[in-house]
Amino acid sequence: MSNATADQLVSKMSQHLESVHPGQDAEFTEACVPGDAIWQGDLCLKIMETVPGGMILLENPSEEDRQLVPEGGEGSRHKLASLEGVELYRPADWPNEESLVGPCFKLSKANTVTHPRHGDVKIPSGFTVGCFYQREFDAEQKRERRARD
Amino acid sequence: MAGPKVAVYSNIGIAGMHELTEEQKELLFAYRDERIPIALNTEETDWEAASKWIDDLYRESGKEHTSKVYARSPVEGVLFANLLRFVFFDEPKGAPTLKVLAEAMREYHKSLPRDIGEGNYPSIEDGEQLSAYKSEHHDSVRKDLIEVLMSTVKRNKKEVRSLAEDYMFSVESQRDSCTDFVHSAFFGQHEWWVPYYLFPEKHLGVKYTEKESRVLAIWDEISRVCGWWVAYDEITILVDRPLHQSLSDDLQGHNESGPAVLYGDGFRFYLLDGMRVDEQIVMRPETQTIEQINGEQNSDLRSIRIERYGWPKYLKDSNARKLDERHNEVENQLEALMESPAGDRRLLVTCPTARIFALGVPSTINTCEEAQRWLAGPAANANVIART
Repeated sequence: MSNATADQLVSKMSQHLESVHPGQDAEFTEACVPGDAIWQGDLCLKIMETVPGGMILLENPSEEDRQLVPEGGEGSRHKLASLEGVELYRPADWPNEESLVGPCFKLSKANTVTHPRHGDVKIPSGFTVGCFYQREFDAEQKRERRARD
Repeated sequence: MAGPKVAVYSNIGIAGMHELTEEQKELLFAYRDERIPIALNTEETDWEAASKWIDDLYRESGKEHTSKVYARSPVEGVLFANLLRFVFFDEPKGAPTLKVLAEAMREYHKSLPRDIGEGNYPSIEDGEQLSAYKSEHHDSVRKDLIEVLMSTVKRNKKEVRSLAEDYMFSVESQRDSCTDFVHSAFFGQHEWWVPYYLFPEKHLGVKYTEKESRVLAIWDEISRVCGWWVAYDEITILVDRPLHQSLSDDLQGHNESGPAVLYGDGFRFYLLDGMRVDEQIVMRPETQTIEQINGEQNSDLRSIRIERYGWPKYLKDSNARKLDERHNEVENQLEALMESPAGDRRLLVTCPTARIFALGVPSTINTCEEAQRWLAGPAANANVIART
């Protein structure tokens, strides 16, 4: 016996995808305020009041430091387009596979967070932006299992 | 914060407790990285070197050195052990000594290719592990071994052949040989305890007795040149190292596109994130049935099955129940919270990259909005204005 609902749902979603344009960009505007956020895939870019306490300033960030998610294949390639005008901070324990808190950056120049598949996120000058990662239920379950073993 | 403590044991109990310094902790990780390639070595066992070190070990134990037999895999080792047990336990009239038989078996091994070739590997039925009882290749090895035996028999040939055939093809005797083999085996490159005892000696200043140190060094040498091996009084069976081994980034046995461990006769097993799975789950996951998936008792394995099958497909094919549905207009996503027959909850969601994802959420989540807040983690209170 088929479940028309589950079937119909997946079909409806597949149809919806036909209207989606992959790689479409998004942007924060000058009118945005702390608390506003844009998700680029599984990375949340959130406007912050200030750099959170406990973060460490990278004195001389290199090109590799443009990457905002710990290395893990294509899905992790969220990168600042440039380090010009960027004050870059990181949590003391970054990278940490169990932490959902990523770097934070202050912009004195407009910048963009790029990704090979997801659309770019444009950010005007003057904003402080925190990076947060999406929870992964399966990964958390795996860690719990490993801890049990 | 106090560092991990290392308990060092002598053969009479705990010799002392040491807290590692920062430098020693770094050394521990470096030592681990030094040992991993030994465990993952896929070069052919160095038969000569392994034989020499094993002889040294026997000597340290006050025993005479043994005759050696070489096998391409633990499974082949079991078949070889079966033949040897036939001669040793049944003592058929006219059978050779173990030493003569071992020499003939070594000559046989020399004639074999290290790798029988992927096209000749025994097939594995869906949902099963490799069975040497149902393998044409291993049947041909059994027949070959009978001929090897017969080449050494001078009299009573007809009876010896008949008894050997019964023995070599008896499931019961093979099971006994397998049990004995596994219980008697040492693990060569895979011995975890060798580096465990070597590290304190090399880096923590722990002193063993001269003999303990000498014997440990021999075990270390064996681990560098040899796969598994089985020690008997008169015979040692040495097994080749695998042709292939693979680990995940966090050092669990893992391969998503083939066996995690493969030996030259096609004996292989499949692992995902350290969990043993059957070939179908890795190589033909789309052919799993809903009954197989839902019937999986181990919840971790069931998760792996579904992940490989594909969550959206699984939810569709398994009559998953819809709990909630919405059009998230801000992020331009269609979302549906689904519950599988086993009680797993997934948020089905269209992604701006034109894909459908099925994101796991706890079973306490009841709506799409709750699911998105859970998934957002520390950003749950953000005011989302867009998603790319």
